[in-house]
Amino acid sequence: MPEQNKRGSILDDLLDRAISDPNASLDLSRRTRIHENIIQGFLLFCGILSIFTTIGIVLVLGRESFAFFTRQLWEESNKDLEVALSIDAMEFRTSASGATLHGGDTIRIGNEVMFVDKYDANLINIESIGTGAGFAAFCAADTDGRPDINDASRAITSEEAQQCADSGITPLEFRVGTDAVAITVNPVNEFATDLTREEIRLIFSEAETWADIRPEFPNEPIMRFIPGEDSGTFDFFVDEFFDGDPEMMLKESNLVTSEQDEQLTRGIGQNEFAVGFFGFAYYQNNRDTLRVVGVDGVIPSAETVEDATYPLARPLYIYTSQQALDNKPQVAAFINYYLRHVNEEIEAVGYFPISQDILEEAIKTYAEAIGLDGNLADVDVEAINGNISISGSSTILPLTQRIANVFREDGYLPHIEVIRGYQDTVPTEHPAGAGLEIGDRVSLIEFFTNTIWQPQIREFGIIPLINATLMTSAIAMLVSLPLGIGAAVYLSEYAPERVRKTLKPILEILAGIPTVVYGYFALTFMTPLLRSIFGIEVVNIYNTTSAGIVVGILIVPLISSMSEDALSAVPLALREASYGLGATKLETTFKIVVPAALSGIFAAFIVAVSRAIGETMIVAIAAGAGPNFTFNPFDSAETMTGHMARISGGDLSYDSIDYNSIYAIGLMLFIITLILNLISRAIITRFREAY
Amino acid sequence: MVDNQMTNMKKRDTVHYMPSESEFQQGLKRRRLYGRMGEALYYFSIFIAILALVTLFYTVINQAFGAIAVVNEVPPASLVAEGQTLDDLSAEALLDIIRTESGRPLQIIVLDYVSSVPRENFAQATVTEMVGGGTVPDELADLIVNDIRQMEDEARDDAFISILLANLDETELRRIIDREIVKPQIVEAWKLSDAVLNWAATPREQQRLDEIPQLVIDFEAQITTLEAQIADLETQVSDLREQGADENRAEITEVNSQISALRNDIEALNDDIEALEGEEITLVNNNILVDVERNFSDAEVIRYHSWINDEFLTVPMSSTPADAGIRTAILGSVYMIMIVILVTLPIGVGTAIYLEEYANSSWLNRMIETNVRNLAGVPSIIYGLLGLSIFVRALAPLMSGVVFGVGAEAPTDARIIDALADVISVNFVLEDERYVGIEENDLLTSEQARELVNTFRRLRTPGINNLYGEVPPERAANAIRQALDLSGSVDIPVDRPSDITENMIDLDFSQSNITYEQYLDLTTTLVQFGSFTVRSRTLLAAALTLSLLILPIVIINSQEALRAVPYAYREASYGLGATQWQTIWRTVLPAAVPGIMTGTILAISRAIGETAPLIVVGASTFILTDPSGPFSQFTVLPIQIFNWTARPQGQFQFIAAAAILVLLTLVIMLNAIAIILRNRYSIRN
Repeated sequence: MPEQNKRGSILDDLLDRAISDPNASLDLSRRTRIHENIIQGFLLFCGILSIFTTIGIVLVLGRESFAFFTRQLWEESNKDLEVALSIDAMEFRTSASGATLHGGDTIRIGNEVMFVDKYDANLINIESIGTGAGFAAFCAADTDGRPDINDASRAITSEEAQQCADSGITPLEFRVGTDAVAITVNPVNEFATDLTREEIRLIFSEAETWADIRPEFPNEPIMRFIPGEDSGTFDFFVDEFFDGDPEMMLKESNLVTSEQDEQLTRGIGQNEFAVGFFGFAYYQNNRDTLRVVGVDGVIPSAETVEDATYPLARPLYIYTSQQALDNKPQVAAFINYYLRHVNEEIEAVGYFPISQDILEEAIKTYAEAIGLDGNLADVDVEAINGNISISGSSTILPLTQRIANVFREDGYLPHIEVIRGYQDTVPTEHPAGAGLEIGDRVSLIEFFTNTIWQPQIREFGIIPLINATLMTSAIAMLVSLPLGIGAAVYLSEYAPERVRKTLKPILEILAGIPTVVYGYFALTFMTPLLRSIFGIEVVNIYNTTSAGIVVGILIVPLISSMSEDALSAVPLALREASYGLGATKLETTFKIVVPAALSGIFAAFIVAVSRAIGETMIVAIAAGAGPNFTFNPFDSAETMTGHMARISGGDLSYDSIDYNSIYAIGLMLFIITLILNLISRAIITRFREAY
Repeated sequence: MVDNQMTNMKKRDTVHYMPSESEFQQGLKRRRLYGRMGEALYYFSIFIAILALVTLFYTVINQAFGAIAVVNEVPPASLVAEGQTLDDLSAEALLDIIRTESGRPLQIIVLDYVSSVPRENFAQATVTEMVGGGTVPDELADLIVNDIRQMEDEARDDAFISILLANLDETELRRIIDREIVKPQIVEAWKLSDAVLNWAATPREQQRLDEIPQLVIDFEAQITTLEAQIADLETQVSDLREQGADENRAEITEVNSQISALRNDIEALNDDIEALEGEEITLVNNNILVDVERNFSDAEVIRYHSWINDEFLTVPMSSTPADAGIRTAILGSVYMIMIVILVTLPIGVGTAIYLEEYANSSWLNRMIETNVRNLAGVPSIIYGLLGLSIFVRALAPLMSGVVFGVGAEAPTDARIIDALADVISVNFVLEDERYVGIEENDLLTSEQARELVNTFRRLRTPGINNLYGEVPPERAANAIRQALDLSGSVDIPVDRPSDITENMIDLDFSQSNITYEQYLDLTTTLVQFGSFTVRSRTLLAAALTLSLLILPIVIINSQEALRAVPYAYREASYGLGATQWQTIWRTVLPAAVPGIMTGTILAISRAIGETAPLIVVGASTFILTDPSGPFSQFTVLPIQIFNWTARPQGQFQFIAAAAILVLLTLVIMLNAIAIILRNRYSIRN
């Protein structure tokens, strides 16, 4: 009542003013203007708040995703500091093996992060492929994979030398030792103790049984074990007994060839009537399982080989090229080491050292090649960087390996040049033996191409998650699209008004049921149903089909209500015209109404897809917990949303990559659904037929 | 002429072909058939949709009710005299049973069922304080609880009994007896469909069940006979062999074939026995009474048990399904919806009014409009991420109530290591308020120290499986055990947090320099820390997240409601000299209220059922105390359902179904209200 009085008095007041001063403007609303402006301002603020929500979503997702992709992950490496690292040291060497680094990586020692400016792995790569194959690679015109050094158990042939010359390579030969080819038999064999060269030739070619060699030998077939054709030992043997024609030997039966000397020793050790030949070193290492046979009355030994009374002794070489020496200081240094240490190491391998004269000659060759006179210069191994590749005979491999070890021990190790105190850490002193951790980041490429998502082992590939999402969504659409459109057509075209009034609320209730209930439904009804149909072994208790079908049921009302709106918007006149032409109801519906409403139906479809992709609880409950990359719809697989729900439901530390990762997934999800929704809206506004 | 005819025919063939009457009739028939088939398809779609709804309800109801088998630790009948039941007894008699039969002292009963003060204050409170608003026996009015505890046995019991008598009625006492003495335990549960269809064996099944054991025995007897025969024959064979294998070859072969025939018979009998046993198992599984009789002979079976009952609705969560309830969840949902309504209604309707009544088509307004539409399509879990980042993390002091002096602050590293240093004298090093390490000493390695600090820190970021707010001693003890690398086991019951006693811990301290006492102190400290953990994952944070989620829906629905108000109303109002706001407030809004209400109610019903964002924001699943305000920890119905659904134990499925039924009732009620409102409103217009 008082309010009315007040208003009355205002009106009176205004009327008074109007009467007393006819020129005064009669602004009835002025008094209310100010608070109305405030109200309008508040309302505008409410509207802008929704924009803030979007900005918030974008910022939050973007920020954490950025953190996800830039976050430094530390991986323990098997590298340790060789020596203590002082505060100002900018480079150091570590023991080599395992994980490699690259320039631009980050490493961490203790709490200090360092930027790797330059990294040299300094690997000595030794391949055993046989002397012949080694020369083929060594003299190849192609520089890719051309070894720097070839281990040869024979001298280079003139063809090979020609090939080298054609490729512009000047081979340099260094004699490093002598090997003897040992003819060996099984220790049980007591009859063959000494054989002539002719008998050996027979044994490895025409003879079939031991009795073919000498009548007193047993009448048992000869089992032959020989090195493969690519080995220097093979070449040596063929040259020695068959004038360079290997066919005579290879055509025989009962023949086993192998590049692996161990296989041969094993073969001979296991067969009583076996015979074989190979490097003397291997015999020495397998004295228990093998017995050596004398040749022309001479048993091979250090003495008989040295004084060349043993007929089957052969020289060992390493070859390098002038070009390698010129361009690769590490190769020059390695040859230097080879010549310097070969006579200390060779006996441990089982070969015979070369005489001082021959060594002097090799040193001279080397010195000339690198442009020095006379002696071996001292090498500062720690100043040398670069990889060395060696290939060739397996006979020399153990010797080369020993020299390589000496080379490494003297400091030829992976070399790291760093910028200290990276990422705002303070350079400190680090004790010897401190472990090195290698920094890693999840790259965009890894994120989109890796097919494993396992945060525990630092595998972040979104493909399995997207795959599961697409599978559940596709199944959902297969279920919901026909049902939803069918229901929409029925409601819009067929259902009598009263039926429609009952059915629409039912569909709305279906749409209003919380998704967690649908999840329960999927797990306790749909999954057992599928399992009883397809078999318990076929259908996993958590599977994408069950989840997909139930998501489909969930979005039926969405599709049907949006499609029904589109169908109802088609003017009645169109239908009447169709009926007038004698079309049946189905024809009218399918040929007239549905095409006219197609844009709306398509928009409904897209919104439904977006809803299916974003659906969380059903898949979290029924599809499984574990990012599984599978196309089997009866297998368990985790969708993007399901994974996010599971991870954030556990003990999630804010300071972990897992925490960042759910935002990266969220961003993907946001972008996908946003694009779908935008497309749907664009279709509705642009392609809708206006009547 | 001929040409003309040709053209006519050609025309008829191509363009103006008219079918003959019979052709037309046939075509029409076919088209009508297609029409009916199409129609059938549409009916089918609708049928499937309704079927899905019906099946869903069926599944839920089927599990929410059903038969149970209950085993009582102490049968109620043994507590009372012959021919009586507990219902017949007076309060005094019931209390007498509680005093004599319950293993727990009466003061604990008082503490659990009467006391309204926190546990730690119990002893020092006066009796009047202790009972809160309850009745105090006159003679005890001046005492504090500890005085009673100091009394002689007899007097003390009498005193507590008088307190219990004054404050509890028979029904409550019977419930105490049920929980403390009878301790019923549900050993097996069946679905409603089983309870209806597979209750008792039919006479034929019963007959079969009766005869199967006899049949098995018969078969086994036959097998024994056959085996004896085989043994005879085998002796024969060996005899024949001894006499000369070659001469008797024919006979031996014949006997051997007899033996293998007998073996086949035995095998067939064994198969029969197996089939019978399989049949028996199926029969037992398909008949609840038989199953109970055979497997749970001491159990009492209730055919129609409702998992939704008074107790389910009024007790909090528990780790055993039979004792679990949803009171805290219902309250959490209700509180949350209240906050959501308070936030969304003004902002949502405000935005709608702005967009419909004020906004011209400037770029800003168009952007707001588009933006609202797009927000409506953002998956709900993304809102969860938004809430986690903005409300739970960035606005933590606001959401936990620290700003308002309500909540407690997060345990900083400094506070953690102060607490640790109190218990074990180790010098932890802080730098910029952050823990950096210790020098290795003989008590802890630096690794263990870091683990220890991390264990305490972890409380700052509890997840859905964390019982945060209340870190139970068991969890604390285990966490400490892990941090210190102690071997052995810890077994402290979660449900009744009580003091940790020696016999619950079976740890090997020989490898560690930490003593048993220090270990216990650490555990206790960790338990205490749990109670002042930062709690930014509050009801408020969750409610605001949900508000953001349903805001676009409220806005769009309200806009539609406002748009539906005829423009004539506004013109009439302006014509009467009203300002724009007066027009909106007095004319447009009242006309749009039913529509706005409909939209808002639908949005609210969505919010009630929303789960995913709350998981991300951090709803708790194990909360024993009711939410006390916006800054308290909370759980809601859908979270509870999710948690139970995800548990492997079968009985949780039943209470999940019960909780779903409660949730569905709520949601469908709201939906129904919205639909009714809309229908009335649309009729009026």
